[in-house]
Amino acid sequence: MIESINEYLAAIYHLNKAQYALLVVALMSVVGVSVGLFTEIILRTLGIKGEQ
Amino acid sequence: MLHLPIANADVNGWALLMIGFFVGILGGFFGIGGAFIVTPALNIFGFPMAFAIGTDIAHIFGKSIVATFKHALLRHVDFKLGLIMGLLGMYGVSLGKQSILYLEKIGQVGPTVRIIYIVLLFAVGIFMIKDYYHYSRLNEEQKVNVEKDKSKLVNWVQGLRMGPYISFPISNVKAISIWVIVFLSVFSGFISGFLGVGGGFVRVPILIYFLGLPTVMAVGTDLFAILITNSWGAYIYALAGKVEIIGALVMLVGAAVGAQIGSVATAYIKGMKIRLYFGITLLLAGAAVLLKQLLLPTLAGYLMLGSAAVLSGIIIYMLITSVRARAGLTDPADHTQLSK
Repeated sequence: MIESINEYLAAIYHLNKAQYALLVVALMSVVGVSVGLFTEIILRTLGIKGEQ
Repeated sequence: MLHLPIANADVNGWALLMIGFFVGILGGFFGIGGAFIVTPALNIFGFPMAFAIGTDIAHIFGKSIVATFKHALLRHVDFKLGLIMGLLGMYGVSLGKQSILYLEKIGQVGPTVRIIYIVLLFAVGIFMIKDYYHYSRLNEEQKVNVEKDKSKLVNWVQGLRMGPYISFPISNVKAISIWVIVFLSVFSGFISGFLGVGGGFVRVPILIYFLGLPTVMAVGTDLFAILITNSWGAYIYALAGKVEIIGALVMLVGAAVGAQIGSVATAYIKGMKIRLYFGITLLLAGAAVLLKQLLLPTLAGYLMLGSAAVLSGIIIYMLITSVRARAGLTDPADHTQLSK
């Protein structure tokens, strides 16, 4: 599976570099926010909110 | 092992995840990107240098979104100040790069950059530890007000009469000369471009010691500035084909979790304690650069990586102890003792 994703990413990069760059920025935002929100839920479940 | 098609390298996925996690904690806690830890570590783990820088910048961008969001929830971000520092910082970065190109032309780039880097890391690190030492000698009453009282330097900087003026009510900075903000923003960007790092380790002390921001506000505001500069950095490095998406994503998963933990820890641990550990981190980074200068790059990389792991462990320990103390599970006196 990783190989096919790698091939796909390499193809996008060689086809259109600007599209690849935008994909990088978009993916980093989406994955960062998703994992961050998931962690926030876990921390709040554990009673670690931070806000006073 | 993960195969990275653009860099044509194989790296250990678990190692990437752990690097991301440790540096994520430090990033959320200190308001730094952590490029000075990640870039040499990635290089050791098989990334060619240019890919190490590009992949690092991309993951820092994702991580800074998470950390800024959490700090914003904790009301630790001055968006107006962060936006100005981030945008003007970009101009400073280009000035720094031009200086590097000039030094490269005269064949002095390597030693000059490393010497300035070492001096800066040790100077700021020692200053912050000394600052904590003075704080530790105060009585309890003085300790409560230490972050509220403005130092002579802050009063002088804020008292400079060169119009026009700008205010940052969230940071409690009233009518400061706009030229001071321009100079400090461009200067931190210049250092960042000159040394090839994110600049958090310069910007956080500037916000604390020149503008008088409380430590947690400086951390949150700096993370927002990092978000702005690194969004552009991630784009241009990806455009040049120097970002490995898979590698950056694996690191980001670890970093996003770590950044949340590091950010939330700032709400439980006293600002002066953050300054102490920030100073220690800078000293360790200085020692790593010194080792690099002495032609021991692998040892330098492992020193940084090991230090990041130990410091992250300390932050997690302090967070757990503080949360337990606040919840009344342990003796509150222990908590007070720990937070001093």
